[in-house]
Amino acid sequence: MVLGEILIFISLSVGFLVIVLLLIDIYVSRKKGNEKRGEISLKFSEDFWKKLEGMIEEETKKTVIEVEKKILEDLINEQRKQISTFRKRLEEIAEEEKREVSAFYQKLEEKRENFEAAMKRETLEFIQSILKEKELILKEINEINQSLRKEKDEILKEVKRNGEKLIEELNKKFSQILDSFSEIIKKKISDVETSIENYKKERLKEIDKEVYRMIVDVSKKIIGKAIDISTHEKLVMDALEKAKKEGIF
Amino acid sequence: MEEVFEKLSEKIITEEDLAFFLDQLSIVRKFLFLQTQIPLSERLKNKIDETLRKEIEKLEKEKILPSSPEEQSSFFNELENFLLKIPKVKLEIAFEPSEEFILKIGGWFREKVKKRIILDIFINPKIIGGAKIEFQGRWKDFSLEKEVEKLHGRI
Repeated sequence: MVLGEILIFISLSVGFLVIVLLLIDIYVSRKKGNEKRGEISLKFSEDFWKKLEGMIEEETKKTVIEVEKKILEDLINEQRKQISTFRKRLEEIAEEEKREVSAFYQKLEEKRENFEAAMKRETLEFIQSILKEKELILKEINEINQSLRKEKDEILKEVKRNGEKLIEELNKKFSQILDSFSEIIKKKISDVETSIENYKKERLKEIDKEVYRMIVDVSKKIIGKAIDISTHEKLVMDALEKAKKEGIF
Repeated sequence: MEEVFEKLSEKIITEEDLAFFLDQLSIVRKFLFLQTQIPLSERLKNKIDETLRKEIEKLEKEKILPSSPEEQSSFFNELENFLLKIPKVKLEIAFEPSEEFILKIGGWFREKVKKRIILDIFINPKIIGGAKIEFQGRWKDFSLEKEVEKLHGRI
């Protein structure tokens, strides 16, 4: 931005110089007219103009380079100054922050210590109160235990009394029931014994029958095997004779 | 005619003999109305039992068997009815009877009872020996099984 302004400034200066030179040329031309009349004349050659332009251009270039250099140096210096200032400022800020942090930590430490102390106090107070409560509760428990023991003894005595009464009554009832049942049971036993006896007799009969059947079967087999064909034939013929005699045919 | 039928069926003693004979008769009937110009006995060659065929041939020669197929059919129907009317004797015995023994029983019936019967023999070794006899609804046990049962009943 600054460089642009400088260039504009330089251009304006060169323009201004050209205008001045033109004005000088006009002035010289008029004066020459007067001098013709007065025989005095001053003239700028073409070569002079060219050289002048070249000089101006060269000078301008040099000036521009120098100006650029100057500007750059100024700019760098300025920047350095600003950086230095900025660094100083940063260092100051950092220092300040450090101080603030340190102060904050200090405050924090103080608060922590205060908090710890307060907690300690409260914990101690709480423990003490709990211990007191515990003592009170233990006292109450002891009292309740004592009263329970007393009640237990009384209840046991009562239960024992009632139990004895109940057992006595039950014994009476049981003996009554036993007496009433004994007759029925005796009868039942007698019936069952009779049934068993009958069953035994029947089973023995069945076994006898079975044995008899086996004996018959074995006899049949033995006799059947012992008979030869001629005896078989004779027995059949005898059977036919008997049938005839009995009038079956 | 009954005499003729008796003669024709004299060898039929058991139920099996009767069944075989009736089967032969059914074959004879099939040939009655075929090639009637040839004698029936000729037509039956190698078709039925040779003994029966010869009996039929004999009947043809003696002119006992009618000549027309219709009359022959009637003859054989009568023969079949005669055979089916022969009473049966059921005989339960303990052993397998031989051919001779069966003939002996048949002879016994002809000789002693004077009756033409067919024997229906049933073999049952359980009866030990003797026989169980059934004839025209009457039944009698003459087996040794019964005797053994009686014997054990007394024990």
